Amino acid sequence: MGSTQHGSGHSSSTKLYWVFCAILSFITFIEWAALHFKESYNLNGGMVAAVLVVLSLIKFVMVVGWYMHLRYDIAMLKQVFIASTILITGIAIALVVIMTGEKHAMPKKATSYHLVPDDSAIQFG
Amino acid sequence: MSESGHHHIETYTGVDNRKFAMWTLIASECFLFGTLITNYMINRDRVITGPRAVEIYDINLTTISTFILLMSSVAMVLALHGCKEKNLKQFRTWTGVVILGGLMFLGCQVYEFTHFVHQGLGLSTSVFASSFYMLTGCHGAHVFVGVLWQLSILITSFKRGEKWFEPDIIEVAGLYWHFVDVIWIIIFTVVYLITYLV
Repeated sequence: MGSTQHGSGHSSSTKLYWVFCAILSFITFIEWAALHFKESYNLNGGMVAAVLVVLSLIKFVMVVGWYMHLRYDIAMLKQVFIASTILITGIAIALVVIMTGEKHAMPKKATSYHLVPDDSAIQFG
Repeated sequence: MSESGHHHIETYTGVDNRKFAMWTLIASECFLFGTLITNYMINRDRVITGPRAVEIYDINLTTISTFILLMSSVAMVLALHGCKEKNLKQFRTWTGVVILGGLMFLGCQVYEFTHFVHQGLGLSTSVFASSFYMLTGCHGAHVFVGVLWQLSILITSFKRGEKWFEPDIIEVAGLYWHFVDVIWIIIFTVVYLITYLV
């Protein structure tokens, strides 16, 4: 058993929060600008997407680690959150890969469709 | 429960039970939103009728709403700081800013949904539409609950007066609000931004 206590290492100053606020705002601006730069400079969409994912991860870590104070909390809380995040991320990636892979692997005949004359139903054939 | 909130509770984990329960809730919510996001990612191209994502998303509006939610997260952490410093004015002010930010975000979502419906993207227009509205609607519902929670805290602060400082309660409410923001960070990238790239 242990007494509850606020996590160690917490600063009483709000300066750090404002610094993080500025960083988060800047990253959000970069994410918005990335779409426009992609068109203007004809950048590779996949690469820009990868950069955006990394930027989002940075924002994710900053909010969870400092705003939610997980960085200063006990190991059990970190384990609960990190384990669930890793698990669902793995499941999500696996499902997306499997399902989109199946969609692309389906023969064209199975994906063709036509409308019946009275538009009451869609038939696949 | 003491009025000051400065009391140590003996627990098995060493953490306030309410805080531990909130982190457990957040872990379960990770699975909820993870499956909704996965569902969207799989079905985002499934459009037979109605507009496609690239034809209808307004990135400028979504960026603004993302910024608003981020700022409300900053306000939340400042409200908690005010509560811990027993600065009632700071606590109430920043809690009000959190509520305002949440309402503005919801307003942006309502406007976006209304605009989409007028463009021909209804809830059951296509599988993409259903996936999109389920994901963003579920998130919006979470924001709405968060706004109600913050409102109840603000009202309680006014009713109980200067004796009411409960940093443990505010911290738990803050965890919920920050998590809602974190989920939107992921949704903004995966749903809106990547649609134009991949």
